[in-house]
Amino acid sequence: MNTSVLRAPAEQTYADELARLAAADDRPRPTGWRLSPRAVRAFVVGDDELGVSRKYYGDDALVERCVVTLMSNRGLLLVGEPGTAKSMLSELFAAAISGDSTTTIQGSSGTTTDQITYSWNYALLLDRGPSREALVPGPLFRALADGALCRFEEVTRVTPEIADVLIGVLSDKVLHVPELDGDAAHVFAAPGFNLVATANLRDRGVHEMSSALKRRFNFETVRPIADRRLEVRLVREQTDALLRDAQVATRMDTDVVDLLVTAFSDLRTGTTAEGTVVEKPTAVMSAAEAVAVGYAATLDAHYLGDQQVTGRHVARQLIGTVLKDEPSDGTKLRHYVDVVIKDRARSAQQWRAFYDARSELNR
Amino acid sequence: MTTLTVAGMRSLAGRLVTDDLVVVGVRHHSPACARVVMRVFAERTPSVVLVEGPRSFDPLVPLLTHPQARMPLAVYAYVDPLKVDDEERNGPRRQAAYYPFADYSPELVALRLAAEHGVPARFCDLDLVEHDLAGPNLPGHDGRGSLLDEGHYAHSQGLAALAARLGCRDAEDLWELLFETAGPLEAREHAARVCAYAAPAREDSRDTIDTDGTTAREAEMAHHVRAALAARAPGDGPVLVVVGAFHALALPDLLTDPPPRPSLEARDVRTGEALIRYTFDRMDRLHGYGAGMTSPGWYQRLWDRDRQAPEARGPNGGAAEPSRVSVVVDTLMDIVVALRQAEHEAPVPQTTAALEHALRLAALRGHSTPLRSDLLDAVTATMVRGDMDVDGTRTLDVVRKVLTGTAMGVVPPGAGRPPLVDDALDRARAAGLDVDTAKRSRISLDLYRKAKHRQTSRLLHGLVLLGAPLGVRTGGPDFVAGTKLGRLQERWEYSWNPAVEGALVEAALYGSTVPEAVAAKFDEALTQAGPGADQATAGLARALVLGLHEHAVAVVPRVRGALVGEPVFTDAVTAAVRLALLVESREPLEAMRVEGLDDLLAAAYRRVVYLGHESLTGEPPDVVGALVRVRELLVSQAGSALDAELFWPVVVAAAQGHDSPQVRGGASGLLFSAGRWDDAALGAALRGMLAGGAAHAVDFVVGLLTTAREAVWQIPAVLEVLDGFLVGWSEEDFLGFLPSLRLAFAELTPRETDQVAGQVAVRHGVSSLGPLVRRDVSARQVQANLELSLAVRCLLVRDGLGGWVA
Repeated sequence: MNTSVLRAPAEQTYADELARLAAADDRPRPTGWRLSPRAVRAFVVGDDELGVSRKYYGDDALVERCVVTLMSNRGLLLVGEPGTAKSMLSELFAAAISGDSTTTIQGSSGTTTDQITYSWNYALLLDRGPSREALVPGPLFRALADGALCRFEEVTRVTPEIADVLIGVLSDKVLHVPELDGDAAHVFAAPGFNLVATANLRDRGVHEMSSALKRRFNFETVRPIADRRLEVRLVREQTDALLRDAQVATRMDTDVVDLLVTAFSDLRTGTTAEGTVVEKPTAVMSAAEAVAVGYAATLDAHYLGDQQVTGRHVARQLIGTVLKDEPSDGTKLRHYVDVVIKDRARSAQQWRAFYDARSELNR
Repeated sequence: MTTLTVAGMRSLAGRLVTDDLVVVGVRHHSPACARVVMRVFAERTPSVVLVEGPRSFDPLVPLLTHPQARMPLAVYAYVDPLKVDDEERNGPRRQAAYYPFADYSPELVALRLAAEHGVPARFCDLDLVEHDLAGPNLPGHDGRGSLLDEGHYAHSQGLAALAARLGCRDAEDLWELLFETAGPLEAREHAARVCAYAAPAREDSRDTIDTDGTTAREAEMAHHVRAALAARAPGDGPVLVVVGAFHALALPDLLTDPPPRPSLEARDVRTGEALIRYTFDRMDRLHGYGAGMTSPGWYQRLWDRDRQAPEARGPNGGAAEPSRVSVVVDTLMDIVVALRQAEHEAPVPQTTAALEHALRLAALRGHSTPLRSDLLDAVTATMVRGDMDVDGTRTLDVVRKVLTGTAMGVVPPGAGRPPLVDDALDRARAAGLDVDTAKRSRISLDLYRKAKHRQTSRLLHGLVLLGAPLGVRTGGPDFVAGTKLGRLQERWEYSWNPAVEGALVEAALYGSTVPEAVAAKFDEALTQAGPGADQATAGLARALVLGLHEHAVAVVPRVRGALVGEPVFTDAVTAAVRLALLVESREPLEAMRVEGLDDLLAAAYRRVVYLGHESLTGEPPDVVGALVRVRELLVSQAGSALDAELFWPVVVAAAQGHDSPQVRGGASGLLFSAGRWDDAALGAALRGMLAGGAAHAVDFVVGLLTTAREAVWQIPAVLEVLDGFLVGWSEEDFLGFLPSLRLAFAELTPRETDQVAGQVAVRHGVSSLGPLVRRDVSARQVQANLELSLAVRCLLVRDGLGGWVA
């Protein structure tokens, strides 16, 4: 594993798993795919016999549907709330199918067609005129030419006029380069090309996709983890991985992880285990956020405390997660602390430690 | 017990299928098992047919196999203890359950073929009442579930593990893969396979079979099989036994080492069974009670297709691949048509994409042909254009309806009346209603003091819900709408007529007693109800009016959820007021039997306060009305537990900062009436409003008079302001504001009006204003007259004749 990079792409991190899967894979592969569909599935959901870890904790049927969609002539659009592992799935599919998850377009309101399709080396362009050498291929161009999976993150943040460049590519599987002549004017998709996009459908700053574009995709909704035990496992594993990378020896105890996951679950679903109803803050309380809070709390305890992570550390970081820009979220969080946590603080030590951070809420 | 090995299963199969005995282990509602039965009949005609089911169903066999009977039908079996004795815990309880039949049920196929071949056929299991005696610790059949016991498969860990290994979702998916996609097997091969399927489930349930009645039932079945074998002459056809695969496993050992026949005597009970028509929708709902395979419509298609094309068989006699795929295509086309009818776009390329997806998914999962779950997944992937929770639910609802199917059975002539009709008649007679003549009668029910009258009220309301027009409510308190609550008696007009009977026959598929049918119908209405707090609390009120107190327990969480999400202030207030009404109506509604009602009221109040701070929106008169109702709620008995101090800040904020002057006026009035604002404060508010312009001030006064009429004569400032307007306004302004002022002053009683008139007179230095009430003209006429006069005056002034006007 490459430790000089902050975060390596999935095909490097899991290179040995991919190699094992390829070696044991004797099933037919669609043209352009490095692994058979079943091996791609095994990469994502795990295979005990081959020593492949489970990376996605959720609905296996979703993974199967995604794999089949990527074999078809439609793109795959993963939608859902932030923090539900859509980008992770997109990365894993690209790593397994094409061996390369870096052919990515990051969507934003400033994305232009240059960043999607191609742009020019202007010096060469001016010197010798339009030619294939002067053309700088964008991610979509490369994916088409190489027959690989192209990732498009946050496709709904891109303005509809720009996003519609995908329509022609997805229906005819060809990209036109009018500046060039002859064969170079058309880039036909090599077998193995497809597009996997992600989007948050209900958020500020997202555009409505045109229905022509919607029709070129199969939509799959990625949901937050419903199973608490899985969520606890996920939070613990990911926090531990981050702490290992940062070379921090402190870890959260079981009861602190439970507290963290419970608090997130309460605020996400709006109901506590005891049945009390709480107002849901507008901030998204996803598993990814929980991992971030756990990580930050441990760092807080390690560097600024006595290396014992308590509910208080979690509370301090949680407040920052919930209070983003919506003032009413402050009221909701205070209400949660005053009604639910105060009650729990009477009988559980870590919840009492959490409640002790109450004063910090009055920021 | 046989070991779970291939050899073990084959040896077991060898004992299940012999020269004199053929045991076909089935899952109920399995077309594949039905085809095995057909094959047995084709290869060697049995001499007698035994089917798993209560013995008391024997008389119904001719009706089930009647040529005019159309499936789906169900047999409804019930047990009624004659004395309801609370101390007699050992006696049987009230029990009822359904036993559904479809064209592809192996049991029905066996019965039909037996009738065709003139072979005697009978049922061989314990009766319902004996079930209960054999398994006293069970929760029992409550009238909503099925007699077909297949819960073992769903709960088996072994089957779940096998399903996961073979790429299947659950035990149902696994069955479809292993059995429904293959052709009709020869009996011994089928026996081996079906035993292998049931064995893990049998293994996992080892601890419960003695106490859940299984042992007793299997002993009974074994007894019948032995008797049939003994009565068989050599050379006769074999004894054909159609029982659940779970029981088939145990049968060989029970035949070689027979246990004593259970003798369970049921005393003091009335039992019965009736054949009623049924629907695929109800059959699918029974699945929740562990009763067999879902999506009857899907299996019916597979069955029909197979019957249509017997020549398209594969190498081992199975349905050829293309035949099954063509069922998938047909189903997909029906789904597309339904989606288009529901105004959901489904163009042709999408349909082909869905089919391709289904086929590829099946291949990925290692299924030889697409299963129902593959089709469902394919539609999910290709036809949902957005978030699953938003766009997806509608699409999937449509898909489920298509897969479930809409078939409704027809009961053959001679089947008699469904039990629901008789039950309704019995209950009506017990309530003292005259239902034996066609006379129209009236009845008055004392809901507050007589329990028996409350029962009658519930019966009548319940029949209305079922669509049976026995009675029409002509008067009395309406707890759902919250009107006429001062009435103590509920009045009904009723008469029994054929329409009532017809409606009850139609409603028979909801249940066979009135409470059951009402509960089922109510549940259905509940799932279709909207999400708002108003609807949810109305649902709760309706449940109590109908006497569905056990059901109310299920409605409470819905209400809570609806309250928390309610965005509209006025609706939240309506919900809170209704809940308070339910809490207070102890006697007629017996609401104290519903737990958590007080909590609900508290939750509703909290929501009202929250919305009062965050979002006090709505039409101004409605908002003022809502504020008044909250005030009334807080001073009522039910509201005494609520914290009034949380409400006043809402009112103060409304009085000082709300956009609508009318709301500000109303809120100010509330504060004045409650003594929280004194004269000076109110006067200041009024003067402030006046500075904002005449229109604002009038609206403010309208609002004020709605909530604090007494302000007009008690506070000189108010009258001063009003007087100032009226003096200062032009004719046009006056006419413009006249309707609003009329509305405002309409709140006053005649005495109060007189009092105000007196004070006005004093201000203007006259002793009296003269008679104020005109009975000979209407307000509209006066308004029209004034407007006309104004128009005439303007014309005269325009023509320079202003001097003519006095």
